[in-house]
Amino acid sequence: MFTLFFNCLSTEINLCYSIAKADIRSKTTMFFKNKNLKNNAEFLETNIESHLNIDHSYKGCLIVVEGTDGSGKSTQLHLLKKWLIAEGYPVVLTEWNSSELVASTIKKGKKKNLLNNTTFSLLHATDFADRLHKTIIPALKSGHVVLADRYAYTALSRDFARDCDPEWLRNVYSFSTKPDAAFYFRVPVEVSLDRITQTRKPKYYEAGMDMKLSSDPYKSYLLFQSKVILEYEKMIKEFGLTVVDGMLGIHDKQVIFREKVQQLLTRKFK
Amino acid sequence: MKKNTYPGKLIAAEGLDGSGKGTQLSLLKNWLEIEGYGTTLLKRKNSPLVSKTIETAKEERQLIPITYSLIHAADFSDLMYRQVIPALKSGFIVLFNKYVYTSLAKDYLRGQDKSWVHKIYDFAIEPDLVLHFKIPLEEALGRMTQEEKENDFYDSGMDIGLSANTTISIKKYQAQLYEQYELMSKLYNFSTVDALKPIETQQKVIRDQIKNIIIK
Repeated sequence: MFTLFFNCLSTEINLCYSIAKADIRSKTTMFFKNKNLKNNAEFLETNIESHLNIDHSYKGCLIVVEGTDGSGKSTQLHLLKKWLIAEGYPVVLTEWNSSELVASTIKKGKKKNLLNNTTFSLLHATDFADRLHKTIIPALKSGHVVLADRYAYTALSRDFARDCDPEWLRNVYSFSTKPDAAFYFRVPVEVSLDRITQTRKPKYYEAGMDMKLSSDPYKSYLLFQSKVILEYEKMIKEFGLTVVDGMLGIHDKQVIFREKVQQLLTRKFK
Repeated sequence: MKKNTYPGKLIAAEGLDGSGKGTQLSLLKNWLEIEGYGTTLLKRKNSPLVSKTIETAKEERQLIPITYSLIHAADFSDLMYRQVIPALKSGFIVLFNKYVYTSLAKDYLRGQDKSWVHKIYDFAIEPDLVLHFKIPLEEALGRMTQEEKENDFYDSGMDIGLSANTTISIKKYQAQLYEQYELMSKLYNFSTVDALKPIETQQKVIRDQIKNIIIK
């Protein structure tokens, strides 16, 4: 079963590879022609456009929810999934940080508090790339509605709050397919904290305790997640996120959410 | 890449498998320690956090080009921030077997965009010296055991479909890698070591270069 899947995949890789090889060759010749080249800056200046800014051409539809913990996005996505299945759509749901490839490494690093922010970011990127190519894109190709609970935007905002350079992050994640719609569930940071601490203390990493903002997990959560929210707000315009008021009731939110998704699907599958 | 502004020195070794980098670096470490210099020897794919994951993922053939790039970058980042930088800060001489240049070359060969890969490795520290162990392709291949050749699906370039035959694939892959090292050698001013010379001769040449760096 796996071999079969791999074979399909490797054909695709080969294709990409031969294109890229031709590309490398042309650049190599360019370099040798230009003997006055003082450094490699010019050699490397290609600046491909990020896939996050290019519409995909797959048959399926990619719907993403984003927001801080406690913004109600997972509940909303679950309800949306129920409805879509009842309506007869083929649906695939995918969650952040769920691939087997690096999940255990991330867990281990978190447990021992050994993760440096760059390593943390690259491990999540590996995980996401794996899921994108092995789950999301194949599902999109075969015409599924793919629901993603958190997407590249989560990494861009959270790793930014961890002091990673925003441009470096945008480059790392430039391989991400642009969603057909990305919904940002907006709630104030105090509400987010209040909702997640109904039953437990904020966890070490979600509170950004590794950033040493405060030794109190509650205070640290507020400081850290405020920074996350700030970056989300910036991305609304940059990536065209659709804002949903996370303060509305569950049912009210779902009605709005379904309306918007309905419009999208009608356009897409008409 | 960032300049090394720490008191320690960073020395990288690049070159094909079988070029003798590992042997030379061990000898160098031994000598440096006898001379009284604190020395750390590190190797690509050997980070405490990520190396095992890479091993498993490779065994299970789970990696595709993009995750191959990213997971090796994570491994490098773990080595960088938890070993290289702390060691340089406290004045160690860090010897790194297959530094960022090998990673760049292997990612290029997998068709990744050059500027994408390059920007990812932006956090790497520029070595004070890069030793390029240059060896003819045939000689390098001859020094690898049959087991080494067949061992790794990725290091024989099987994952990028160069050939269904392992022997042909590894030849093609190593040839492309050789080309990349040649190209980078000029771009980044590598210092070439003739890996065909006797072990002692190579070591002497290397030690002379290191002396210059340490005294500087």
